[in-house]
Amino acid sequence: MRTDEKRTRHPITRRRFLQAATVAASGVAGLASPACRDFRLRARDYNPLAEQARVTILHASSYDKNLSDLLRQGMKNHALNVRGKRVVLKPNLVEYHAAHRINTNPLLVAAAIDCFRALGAAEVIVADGPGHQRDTEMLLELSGLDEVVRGEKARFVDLNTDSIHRVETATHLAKLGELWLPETILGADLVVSMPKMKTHHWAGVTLSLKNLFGVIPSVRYGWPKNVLHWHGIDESIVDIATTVRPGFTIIDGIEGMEGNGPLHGETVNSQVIVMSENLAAADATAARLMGLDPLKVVHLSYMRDLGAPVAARRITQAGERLADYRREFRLLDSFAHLRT
Amino acid sequence: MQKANSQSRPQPAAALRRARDLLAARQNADGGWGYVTGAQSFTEPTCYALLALGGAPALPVTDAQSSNSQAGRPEHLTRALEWFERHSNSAGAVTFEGEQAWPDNWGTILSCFTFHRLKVRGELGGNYQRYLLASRGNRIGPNHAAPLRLNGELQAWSWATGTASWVEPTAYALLALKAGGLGGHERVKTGEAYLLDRACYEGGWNYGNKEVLDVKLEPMPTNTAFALLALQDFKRDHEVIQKSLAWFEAELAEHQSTLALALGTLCLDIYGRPVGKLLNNLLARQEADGGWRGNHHLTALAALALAAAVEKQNVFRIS
Repeated sequence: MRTDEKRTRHPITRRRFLQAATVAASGVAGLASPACRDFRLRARDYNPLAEQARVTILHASSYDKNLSDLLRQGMKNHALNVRGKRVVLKPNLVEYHAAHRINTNPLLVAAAIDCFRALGAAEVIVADGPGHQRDTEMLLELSGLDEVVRGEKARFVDLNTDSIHRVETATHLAKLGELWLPETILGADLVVSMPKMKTHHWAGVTLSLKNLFGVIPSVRYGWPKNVLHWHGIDESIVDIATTVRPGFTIIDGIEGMEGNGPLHGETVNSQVIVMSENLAAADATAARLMGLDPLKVVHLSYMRDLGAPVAARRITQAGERLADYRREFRLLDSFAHLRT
Repeated sequence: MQKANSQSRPQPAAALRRARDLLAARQNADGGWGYVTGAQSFTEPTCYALLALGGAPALPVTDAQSSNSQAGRPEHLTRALEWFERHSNSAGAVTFEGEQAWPDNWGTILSCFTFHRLKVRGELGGNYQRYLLASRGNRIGPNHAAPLRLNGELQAWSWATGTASWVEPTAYALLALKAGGLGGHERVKTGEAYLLDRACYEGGWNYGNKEVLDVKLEPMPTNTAFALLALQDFKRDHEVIQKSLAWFEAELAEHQSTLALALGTLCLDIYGRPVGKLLNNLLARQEADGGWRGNHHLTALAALALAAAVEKQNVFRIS
């Protein structure tokens, strides 16, 4: 439980910041700890602390459109080379309630599979570790993702029960020290976070960074992954992101969720897809699209402190104009302070 | 228990045999089982595979540490006990591969239940039970408990150490203690009180919260099955039990998966409810190799459900 204690930002002390930033910077080069010497992490081209990041906003009025072509169009703004690589798509698959749009739409996942295959990926895997629902098979079937994965002849990996290996965290804000991560994630050349654009009742928003909670294996941490709550949700988000090093994100904002997200909010027809190599920059842009100040979101402010491009001046905007799609997502009272 | 009577469907006895053959063939070289073929061994698939393969032997067997004789012990069990021995630490807990210090908290609880069911006597099982009795979820302070409308003082059992109590590990702990003849232990009373406190308003259980920020949460089949199994010797006419059974049966008529069907069969069998349809649907999902979804955990649970029908041995029945 202990899920409401982290709504206010913990100031990073200078010492703590320098410790974290140092580890993060060195972590980009290599994260393998002695504990995981038996497992070699794949080298990944990912620089979360890039001085300038490019973010693309795409317009999509519905999931009926040819989303694969749209994604490929958007990819032209990004110098992403996936030829011959193993790509892992990590959608947001949490729970299923017929009345709420909780999960990343399976049609967007299908489009992403097509897109990365067209770009030359050797293999595209869909993988997630649902945080609450023990019955992944039921969740896959009810959400429609099972049909999509089968239809695309792709492979789904349940990250909750995958083989796991221990790695030292690249940053130490949550003081987890180490994380056990699934082999499918550690062995990927490119991890693509594919969240739903939603508000979140404990973290303010859940976007591409928070979506990475799903890579944490429940066989080790439980259903729910309560260890992360006790160590601080926002701090854990940062430590997981800097350690996992996802190299791209595609945010499903065609239908977003406002109010009491991530499970019980209302649908917003926000009609956007947000893409970037830099997750912090993409999340900052999505937060602005939701009418929020990203620097007031605790985990994004941590990322900014670590050197990630969160400020608008450090983001090169491509595609649609942000102002044309900006909406005021309804917030719980406890997060009213996130408004711009 | 109703029998599957369709000629076109596989017969439960044959299906059970094929499932057991598959599980026996898929034991890892280290003696454990992974969730899928070739994957790392974990406690849960290892426990369930053992339960599905082993049944309850006529005589108790001793674990690897305390045995002088291995007579009568099946070979797969000998190898698995060696796996447990290698994956246990000085605190008496099961551990993860490559990690001795951090206990597999819920895995140890499940192992305790498994050792009781398989009548494996000796040091390891005793250690697991002592660990289980000492393990407890964190207390939830009133500021955090209030928006969740729960009694934060009830310390039951957690998935991982240093975190809150949750429904499934608590249910495992109750089953383990009751299977070990400790049904009267004060921790059992606390665990039962915890489950009653966390029941959803319409009956059934989810992972452990009935309400968050004024939203009433919905139950889930898996957690509901385990909670009902753990409370099988509680008052059957208790409102929570009755509402939960009603919700569970209605849910199973609508939403089915291997896990829900297998646990539904095992749970409702104990409560004397008809399970013929569930069993038929479970049989229909069996794959050509004798397994379910290529997953050893699911295959073992399905085999246990079939064993309840074919052999009248329900592994979760506390007598």
